[in-house]
Amino acid sequence: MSRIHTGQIAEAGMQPAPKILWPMLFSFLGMGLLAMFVIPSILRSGSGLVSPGAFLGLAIIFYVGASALLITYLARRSDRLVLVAKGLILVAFIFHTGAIADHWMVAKHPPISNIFEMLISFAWALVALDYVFQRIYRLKILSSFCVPIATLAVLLSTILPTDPARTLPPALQSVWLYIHVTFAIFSYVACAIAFVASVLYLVKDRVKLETFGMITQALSVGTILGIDWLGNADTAHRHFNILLRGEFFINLLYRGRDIPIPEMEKTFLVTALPWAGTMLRIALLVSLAGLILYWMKTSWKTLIRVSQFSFVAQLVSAGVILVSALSRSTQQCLDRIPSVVLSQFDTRTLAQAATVSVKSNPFTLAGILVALVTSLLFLILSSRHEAIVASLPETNLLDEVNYKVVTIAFPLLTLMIATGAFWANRTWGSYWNWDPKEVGALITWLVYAAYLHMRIVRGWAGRRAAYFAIVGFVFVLFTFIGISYLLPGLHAYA
Amino acid sequence: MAQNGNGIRNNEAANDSGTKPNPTGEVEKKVGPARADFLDNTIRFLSTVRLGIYLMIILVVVFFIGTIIPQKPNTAPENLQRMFAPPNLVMLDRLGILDIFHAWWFKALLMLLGLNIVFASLDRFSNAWRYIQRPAKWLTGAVIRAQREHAEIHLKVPLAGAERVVTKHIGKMVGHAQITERDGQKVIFAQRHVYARLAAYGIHLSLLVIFAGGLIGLEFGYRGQISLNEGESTSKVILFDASRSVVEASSNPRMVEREMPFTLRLDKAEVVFNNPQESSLLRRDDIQSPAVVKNWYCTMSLWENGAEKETQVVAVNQPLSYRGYRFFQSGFDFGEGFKELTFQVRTRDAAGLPHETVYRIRKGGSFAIPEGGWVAALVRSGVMTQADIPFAVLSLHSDNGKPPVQLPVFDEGTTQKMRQVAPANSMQTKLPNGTEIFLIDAIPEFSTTLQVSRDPGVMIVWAGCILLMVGLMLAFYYSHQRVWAMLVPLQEGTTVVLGGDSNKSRSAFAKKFQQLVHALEPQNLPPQT
Repeated sequence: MSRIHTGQIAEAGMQPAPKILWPMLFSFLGMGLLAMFVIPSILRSGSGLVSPGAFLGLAIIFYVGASALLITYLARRSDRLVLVAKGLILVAFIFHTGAIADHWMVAKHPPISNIFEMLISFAWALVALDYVFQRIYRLKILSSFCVPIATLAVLLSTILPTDPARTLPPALQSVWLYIHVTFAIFSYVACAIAFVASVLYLVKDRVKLETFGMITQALSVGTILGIDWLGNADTAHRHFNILLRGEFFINLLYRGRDIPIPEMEKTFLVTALPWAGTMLRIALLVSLAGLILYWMKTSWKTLIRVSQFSFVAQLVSAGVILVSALSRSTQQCLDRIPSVVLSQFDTRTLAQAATVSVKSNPFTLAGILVALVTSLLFLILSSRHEAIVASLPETNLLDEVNYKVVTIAFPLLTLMIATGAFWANRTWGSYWNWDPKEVGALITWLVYAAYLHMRIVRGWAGRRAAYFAIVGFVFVLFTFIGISYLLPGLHAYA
Repeated sequence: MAQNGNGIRNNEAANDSGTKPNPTGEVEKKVGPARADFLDNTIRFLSTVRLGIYLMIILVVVFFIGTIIPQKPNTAPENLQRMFAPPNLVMLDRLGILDIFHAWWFKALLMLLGLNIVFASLDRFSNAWRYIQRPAKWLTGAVIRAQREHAEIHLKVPLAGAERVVTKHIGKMVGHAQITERDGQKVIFAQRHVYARLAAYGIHLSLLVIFAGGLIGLEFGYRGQISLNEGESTSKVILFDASRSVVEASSNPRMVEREMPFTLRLDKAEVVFNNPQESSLLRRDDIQSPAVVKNWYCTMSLWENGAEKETQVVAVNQPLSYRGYRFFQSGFDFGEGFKELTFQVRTRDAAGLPHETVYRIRKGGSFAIPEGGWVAALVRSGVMTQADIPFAVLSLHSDNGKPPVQLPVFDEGTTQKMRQVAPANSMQTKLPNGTEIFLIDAIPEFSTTLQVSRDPGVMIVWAGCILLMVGLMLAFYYSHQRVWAMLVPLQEGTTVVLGGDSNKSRSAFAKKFQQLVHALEPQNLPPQT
């Protein structure tokens, strides 16, 4: 295996050195801009430089830079690019580790007890395992996907509410929590790597760009409709309020926590962001048009143009939402809170300690972020298709990685379910409660079981296996994040 | 899953052509006419992998529906009634959609999956078992050359020397080598991890074991709960019953009880907080909030035939086990009243100066207030259910012959609030002579709710899980590797025909095989052989 690959590297080395000056400059410029945003906010938060928030902020700066370089690496194969990216990853990883260690020390338990903690641990494990897999399979290209996914996860974690000082509820004070969740994290990471290998396989196997484009557009449409349908935690006004009325749910955090408000009264926190609605409507229309055009198989030029438009529309709408949500002042939000609720608090401290936050909408933001990154990846892919295909490792190798990683993920998934069942039996007296998260894990397990049967008994390798692994990862995401936010259950705190 | 790894069937069949005398034609001879045919077809249908795949897909869909639609066991009937219009509710309920995981058709699906696993495994097991029972120790030269990995080496030593060298190296690489001679041809054979061939069956068997454990639990076990106040004891379990329809459940809570062969007594219940509580008057919000409570500890004693057998402490994550019954902390609340109460009595003496006295009484006790000649007896105490406020009701007799006064007593803050909210005369907060009484400390009596589960199948389920893990390890990380070497004597030296195969991780095996070939090449052998 390694022989084939060293050959490839040699080949790549013989090509004229690709131009990497601009991508480098852009990445560093981006990091600089990010730093201008992050560092003041760290200083403003007053918790000092040695705090999980500060560490994570710094890690994000370097992760974003590394991700940008690694995505560029898809199109411009330069070892120097990877070298710089590796340096950035190392710095980011150190900060990341620091954040985890600090969080651990403050919380006095490993950071795996809620979604925020799991996400930073997931990202950490993903970066670590990506390194391990690179050592084994010498697949630099894997980083081009794993590091951006880890970056997304860290970014997502920062918009989730977190309270390191929170003590665990009694049901979670068990060593089985850590065993169970560690298996969960590692199996999910393995599933993510199988997913990446599968996507790379499809690219290398020359699945038509139109197909990728169609999937991207469908994802964008699905995301916009989905966040509108499910995005608001507020049950009374759940459907289509962002798109139709530009109503967006922003929240006030009081000392880093949600202000405890009865579910029924949460509507007052809905704030109209008129531009966000309009921009999202445009993004939706462009993506829909793109989807239809892809389906009608119009000329490639049109298709690419529409993909670019939809990316820009999404980017602008995400920006508008963030900027206009964050530019609301605390007082503007407080004014909307009925005095009955406010009377529970000392209003003056509230006005000082409360911060406007979009954290109550993690689902929306995650959706937009994922759609954005996917669109961007597609644009890069379509602009450098040949170069990327040529530079990817052989399909055989990618297929083998896919299978090998699933053979790691599946036993881990099994262990995760079994240890969860054991723990549930110790805590609640029943090893299986048909709780949504349990059922979700079982669904994932079954999907990968089906994958293994198809592969082993029916010889489904290659493209079909790749599609299967992608579907499997969608179910992982559904179980990992979707169920926690959309469905109640025993795992409500995770 | 008889064949394994990245394998494609045809290759595998070709590899094993030497070892499989009967690859097909296992279909039983048709005896009767249509009936036997039908049975035959059913069994054949039940043993296909395709059925298994379809069942998995159907189960995924069913599970998905079961997570999206709220299920009866996890949802309050009122919520379901709010969510669906009555006709829909009845229909969904009748279809089992509201309790998918207990619906008859869901059990039928699992049963079908079980049958599929049994028949599919039986169908393929004989092939795998043959590897263990009758390893192909001798192959013809042609078959050895047809192996995935093969090589031919000429050694300059006579047969006996070659045999020794080859046996030694194969032994080093694969494992114990055996020599079989047939038709005057010697074949050296070695294999390792032959049991990996059984991995798939182990995995499927483990699933059946887990199913069986689950069924035993359903059939012979039950789940329920008991509620006890401090000092109380019981031997009755109130069963959970999820099988009833939604409408029935909300209108007619039916109690099904089960008697345990022993009696459980709550000796002492206490709550431990993460941080010390500011107020000594606990509220329900305090003692029930998982955010502030570290754990709830209930000291339980177990009695049989009037004799105490043992005492154990139950807490969250610290269940009590006794004779196959297990008890889990599930609910914690105030019991009936307070064990001990401390009152502060604020009076004015003859000179009009304020005067404070503290009285401590136990449940059912009374105390005398010299100023005004009152005797206060405790009528009731506890924490109000709705408002979550600790209170006590005192009955005060005076020696002046007037009828006794009933006075509700709260802590000072609450009393002040009540005076603000309620009009002056609607509720009495002071004694006629202006004496005020406040509750300043109270040691509550607690009550606990324990979940009871009796599940004789649970150990079987864990056994199944362990078997499952062993099976998965074998299936993914161990491969059955075999190597054959046929020794053909020449006039000068010996020809070694080497062949080998592995049922998975073939690239790793190929590397190993090349190492073997390399080691056997004459220039690499020590000269004396």
